[in-house]
Amino acid sequence: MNKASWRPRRRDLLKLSSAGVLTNASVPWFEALAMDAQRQSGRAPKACILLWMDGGPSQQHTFDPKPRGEFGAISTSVPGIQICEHLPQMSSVMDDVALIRSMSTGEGDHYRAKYYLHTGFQRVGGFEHPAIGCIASHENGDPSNDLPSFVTIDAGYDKGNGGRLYRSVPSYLGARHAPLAVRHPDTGLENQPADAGDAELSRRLALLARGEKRFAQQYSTPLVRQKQTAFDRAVSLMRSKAVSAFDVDDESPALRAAYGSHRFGKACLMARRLIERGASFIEIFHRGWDDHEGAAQRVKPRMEWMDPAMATLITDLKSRGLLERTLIIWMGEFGRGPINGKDHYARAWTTMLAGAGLKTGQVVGRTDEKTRHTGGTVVDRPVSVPDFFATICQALDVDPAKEFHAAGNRPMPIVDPEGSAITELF
Amino acid sequence: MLSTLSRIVWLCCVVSLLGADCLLAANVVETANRIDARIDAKLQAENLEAMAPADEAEFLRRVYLDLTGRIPTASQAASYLDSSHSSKRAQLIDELLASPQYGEHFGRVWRDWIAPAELPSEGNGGNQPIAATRKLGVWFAEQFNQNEPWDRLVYSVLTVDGELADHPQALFYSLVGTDTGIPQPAGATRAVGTLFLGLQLQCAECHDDPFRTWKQTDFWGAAAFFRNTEATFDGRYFASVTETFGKEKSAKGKRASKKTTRNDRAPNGSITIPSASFTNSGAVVAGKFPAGDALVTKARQPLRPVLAKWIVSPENPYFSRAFVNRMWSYFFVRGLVNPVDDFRPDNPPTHPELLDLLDGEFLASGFDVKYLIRCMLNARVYQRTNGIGPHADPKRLTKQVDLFARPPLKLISTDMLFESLQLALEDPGLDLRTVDPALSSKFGESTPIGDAYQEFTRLFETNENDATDFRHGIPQFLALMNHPRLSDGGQTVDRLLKAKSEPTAVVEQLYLGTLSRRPTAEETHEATIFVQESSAPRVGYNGLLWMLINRSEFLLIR
Repeated sequence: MNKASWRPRRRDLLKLSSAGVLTNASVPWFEALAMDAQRQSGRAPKACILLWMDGGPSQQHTFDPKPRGEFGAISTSVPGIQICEHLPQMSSVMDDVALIRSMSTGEGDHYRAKYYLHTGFQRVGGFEHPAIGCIASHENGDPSNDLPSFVTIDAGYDKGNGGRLYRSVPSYLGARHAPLAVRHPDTGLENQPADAGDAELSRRLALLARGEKRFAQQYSTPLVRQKQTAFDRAVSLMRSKAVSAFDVDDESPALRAAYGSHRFGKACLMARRLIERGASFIEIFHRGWDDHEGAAQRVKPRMEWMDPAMATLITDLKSRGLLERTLIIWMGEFGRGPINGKDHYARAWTTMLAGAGLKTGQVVGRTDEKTRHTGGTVVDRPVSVPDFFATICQALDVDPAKEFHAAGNRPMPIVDPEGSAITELF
Repeated sequence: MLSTLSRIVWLCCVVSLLGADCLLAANVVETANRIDARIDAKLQAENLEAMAPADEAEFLRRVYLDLTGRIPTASQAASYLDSSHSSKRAQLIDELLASPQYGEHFGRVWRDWIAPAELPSEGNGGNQPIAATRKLGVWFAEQFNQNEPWDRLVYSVLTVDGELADHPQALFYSLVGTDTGIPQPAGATRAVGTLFLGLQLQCAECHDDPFRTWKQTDFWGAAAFFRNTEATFDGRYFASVTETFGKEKSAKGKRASKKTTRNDRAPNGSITIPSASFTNSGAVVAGKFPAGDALVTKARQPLRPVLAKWIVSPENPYFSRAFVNRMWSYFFVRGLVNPVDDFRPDNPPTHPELLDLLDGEFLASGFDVKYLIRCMLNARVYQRTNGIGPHADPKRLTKQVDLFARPPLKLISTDMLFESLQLALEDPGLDLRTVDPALSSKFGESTPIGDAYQEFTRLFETNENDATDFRHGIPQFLALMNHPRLSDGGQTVDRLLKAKSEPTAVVEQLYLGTLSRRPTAEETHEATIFVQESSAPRVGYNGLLWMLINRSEFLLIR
């Protein structure tokens, strides 16, 4: 990235920040400067849609089928790549997809793995690492946008217990980068006024503004400014056209049908609308993939809504020219044991990436095809969590080595320096 | 820091000379003055001027929110403001400490310090962790309202033995020391260090702490005291917590089939470092008191009582200081040691003599929590104004707050906001749930939201602890601005309209019931015009009340 020479380097700004010259990690002008730098480079900042299958989806019942597996395999648009038979629409967009079949992460406890796969760091007591969504919001978000840059959408759940849901925490990046949570795609953004242009509401806001102005004069402190800024952002959002991004009913019936009527499909459509309007990171989570009673019976009905929604998301983004700057990630906190998918399995599992200008239409890594315990071992190119996060960062144009100063002046890089990006994808 | 010997001498002298009861009554004013003397000495040395005393309205709202977690009602506010009693501040402090809301509030505060509320999800059964922490908060509330001495309270938590139904404090171990139903000594160790001793032991869980003197063996030496903790797990939290020891427990465990405990072959009084701690896993570490001596134990001795006794002992240099510092930090946002759980030689207190004073008073009072609070709140340092003016120098402001020349401006907590909105709207059943509960149980539908409290928590809770940092974002303000239950004026406006009061009197009541003060002339003027220009008085007053609960002044503690 070319930076104009008069600008302080980002690293220097961070040093200023730690020296107390800037009092908060999220200082608007500093972010604006960073955004400027990115815009000057002539590229729109990258966005990301994370499709989080909470509980741990079975790789052998999805993207890493095995010859003697419970599901059959089908060919795809890329010669030589096969995926599970219940993903016909995904098979036709395989050119735009990269599969990482050699995830090797070693953490088999639900919550610790969720934390690990959301932050890139193992969970330790007394310290909270920021989630990738918050990092993306901090690095790529546009502070001048009326829309919050990080949004989570709840796509519902099946029965089954995957333990506590991980909730993204911005930690030292500042509250501004906490996600806006959408509880249901049908409800969209909660608590919007019936009519944002309502005259009575405007009158109330004008009366409020007079009192607020006096208070700010008497109490000119960051806390008051933060309240007033956040309040003003809420008012701008509810009066902004961007708020319609949360309303998927605007879309054509044909496209809505293609995404599907399940909450997950609606959430994917909402994600595309949010990305289109400049959001940086959307996490859609669907819970209940902890299929201890065996994956086959449970996963098959899920494919009916997952397959069309994901394939449509890819083609829809592509047709709008957004796929090049949007990374799609499909994953859970780990995979599941070979063949029946009953157990947690973190030694060898699969994630899916699409878009963001990656070299797609390929498979990274390989699991074994032994007769017993088939697919239980990575035989080629193991990918660790730090490797995976370095890859995501590179795909999103985020510098993985950038350091922040966490509480106690503890220097924290965005990604564990042990990780290195999967070069085959770039 | 006072040496152990001088602490004991001090304690003995004070108690024997004066007698505890007499000491308490006589000493609040005296101690408050000594607190101020120590604060003022430092201000003088730093050439910093203290702020003037707060006006009555400022003090009133601050002390109500700080002590009871809610604003006063309009009539409580008016009666205090109109009282001409010379010692009305001290009286109000005593009244609030005697009200059940005091314990209720500090029960919630401790509940959140022990385990921050967790949002409902399918994984936690929609509501369970919140339900569990709430029960623990209620138990704490009872203790605080009875003014149970802090040493006895903590001893009771740490040594809890038996069924949850009889001992709600067993939830402590469920919340801090569990991993999928198995008691985890590491979690309990971290919590005890942070909450009760003011020691950050956690870094040493995985490696020797480069910033502190703790070795990894210090952490696990402390964890060894929890190694025998045994629990039955009901799928959500521990239904009972007990302690057995040595190999006998496996035989016992077979009979009571659901009991879980860690599997550790190390002899009693020591512990094996588990694999999750990255380094030295498998090493056996001998028990050792935190920052203290080695544990000498018999083979079949329960260990938690040994640790608890050591922790709450007046000779322990950390226990009392950690509490007074935490309480100071609760009221003033900054502790005398910061962070509040990081006592160590390289991180000295800003006011060492003040810390010694509070520590000595707390010990001498027999760990009397209400007494400690009375001393702090009767001091001038708590009762100053924090109005700033338009041209404040930010550096000077920070310094003033840091050295307690100015009380900090604080954001009210989620619990405070919930209670205060109910009072301001006269809507004790305030319930912001909009999702039809019948829908939520259906397959694939939204997680059920158990009750009004949970829904409010979901809408307004954040995971942060710093009251000077603003945590509310877009969804919170959208709810505050637009939720029909919050924008329609509640019962308050109806009641006032029925009473057929003068417009200026209604405006005054609305200000008293939200901002706990009377409106200025400018505000009264503005408000009456606003109401006159409304389509109907009811619409106008609803708008006025809406404006008041959306004011920064409503969300902040001045």
